[in-house]
Amino acid sequence: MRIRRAYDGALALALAVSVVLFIVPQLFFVRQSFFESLAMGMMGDQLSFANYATILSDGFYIAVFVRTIVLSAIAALVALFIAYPTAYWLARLNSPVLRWLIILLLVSSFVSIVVKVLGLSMLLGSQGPFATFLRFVTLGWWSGSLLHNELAVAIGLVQYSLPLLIMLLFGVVQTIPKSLEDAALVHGASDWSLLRRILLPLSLNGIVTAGLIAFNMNMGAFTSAVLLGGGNVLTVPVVIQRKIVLEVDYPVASALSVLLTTAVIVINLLLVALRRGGPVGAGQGRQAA
Amino acid sequence: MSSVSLECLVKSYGPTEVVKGINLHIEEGELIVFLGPSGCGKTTTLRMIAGFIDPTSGAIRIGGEPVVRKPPRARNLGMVFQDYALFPNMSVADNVGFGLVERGKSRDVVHKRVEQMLRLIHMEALGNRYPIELSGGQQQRVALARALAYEPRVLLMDEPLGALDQKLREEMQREFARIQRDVGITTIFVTHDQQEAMALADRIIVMNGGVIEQAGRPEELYDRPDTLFIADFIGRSNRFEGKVVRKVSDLVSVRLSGGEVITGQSRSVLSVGDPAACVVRPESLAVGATPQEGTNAISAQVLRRSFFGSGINTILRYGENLEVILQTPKGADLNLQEGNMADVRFRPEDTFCFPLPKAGR
Repeated sequence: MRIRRAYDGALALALAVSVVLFIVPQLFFVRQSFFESLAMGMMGDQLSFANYATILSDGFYIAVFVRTIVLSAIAALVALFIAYPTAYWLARLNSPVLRWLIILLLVSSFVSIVVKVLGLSMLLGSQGPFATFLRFVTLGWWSGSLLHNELAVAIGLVQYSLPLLIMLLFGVVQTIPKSLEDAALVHGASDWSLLRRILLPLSLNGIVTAGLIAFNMNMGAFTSAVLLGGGNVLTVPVVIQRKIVLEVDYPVASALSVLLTTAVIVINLLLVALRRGGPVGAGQGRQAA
Repeated sequence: MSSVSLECLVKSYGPTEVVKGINLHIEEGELIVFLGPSGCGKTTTLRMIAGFIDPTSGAIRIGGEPVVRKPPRARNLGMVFQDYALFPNMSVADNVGFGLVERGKSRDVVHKRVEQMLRLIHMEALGNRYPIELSGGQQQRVALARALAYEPRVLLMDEPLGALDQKLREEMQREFARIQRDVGITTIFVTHDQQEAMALADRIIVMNGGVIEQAGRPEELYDRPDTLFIADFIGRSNRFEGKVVRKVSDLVSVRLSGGEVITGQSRSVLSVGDPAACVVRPESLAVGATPQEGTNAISAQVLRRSFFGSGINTILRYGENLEVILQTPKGADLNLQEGNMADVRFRPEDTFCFPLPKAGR
């Protein structure tokens, strides 16, 4: 019991830190979002829904939200498509090399996003290999850069979330015994039906979780959007930053933040609810029966 | 149903040979048990037959057809795994019907066949359950039904009863023997449990160090072991070591450490002066006062007696520290007192002598 209490104490500390560093600022944001914005960073003293009304009735903001959600979702899906086969391959790799590959993956996920994005902007920029190749193929008719558009931002988002997704899905595939695959194959399954009838259903929970994590990371991604989008790709975090830094409009920025957080939470809850009603994964037999 | 032939089958990983040239023909409908200690190559051989491992060299024929380069799905085999490997995301019925669905059978055909298989394993009422809700024995039966549902040519079983407790194990052995006989399918069963092998097999293939030590009916292996390994591995036996002092055709006489000379049969190359080990089954030993012509006799001290239900084991000490086990039926009164010396007798026909490696041990 004493140990138990000691653990509870440690948890209380963690809770206090979360409250002070996360929840209090959020509440501050929420409160701020209800004040009218006067110019030059000044705020009115009347509580109102004016900021929300402005955002939700303005096509510009709606487009920003739609763009952010679509871009985040596509980048998350693409990352899943790349991460799953890689994770599967790693999980089934029966070799001492595996350790080193995992370490490499871990290290690559620790590299600062700024460094990663800089690398990408060199790769995609007008002097990069892809642009050079395109200029060559089109005999100089095409001359430009692959940067500063939605594609570049999506590539950046995928690159950033990929190591984490691979590691998450690696753990998921590892929980599927190899003997299940052997059983499927010996009983006549093709590779496709092995994937469709065994591997995917058994990894679905993990795939949805990993996909949501990537999506949530993408929704809040600022660096990729700013550096690779170069001001042409306006996502919610980019617009929030502009509102604060360029227009000194704290109330609208706060309202945008609150809406972004709300959107993320609602989308996550929706997907989780959908999963409940969907097909079962490993160990979920009882609930379905 | 098909025959299976293994021809000079070899598997090596780098410089290590795991399976060292196996030749074996398995008849249609035969129940073969691969028996051996862990690491003897029995599971590797089974997995080569299944198609999960490519042999380094040699051929595998199923029903006369070479299958070595074919993937598992093209071999039309059934297999039961040690951990059952039931699909946790599918109901019992879907598990059993898995192979049929993969073979493109219509919903009606699958449904009928699944019902038939569930009747065979006495689990008609449990088709809608999920594997997690079943006991170990039930999961094992479902795995068997899944492997048999599409009428494969050969059934492979990889230590399928290893995870069950002793009582359930024996029950499953009987159940499995019944189903195998009903279906009449050629079966290759892998185990390290010699009692299980004896209980099930038409023919036991004892493997050791990547080769077949001996293949034969259970009684043959028990009554006429070819090698010391078989005599040790199959059943219990007493082992007396000494030096060969005489050899007349296939009868050899061996002088033991206590000075007694015992005679036994030998089919191995043994000459006078060679170190040899003679093995005798516990039930072939007797204790008696009257010596008989041509019977081996040693003198040993009674240590203790233990009752095991259908009989009594008497443990005696011969020489310094060799324990000898003598097994007698329950009613037999040997009139033995613990601590007393007794004359232990056994017939040369029940004694088998093998060469011992000169160095080591």
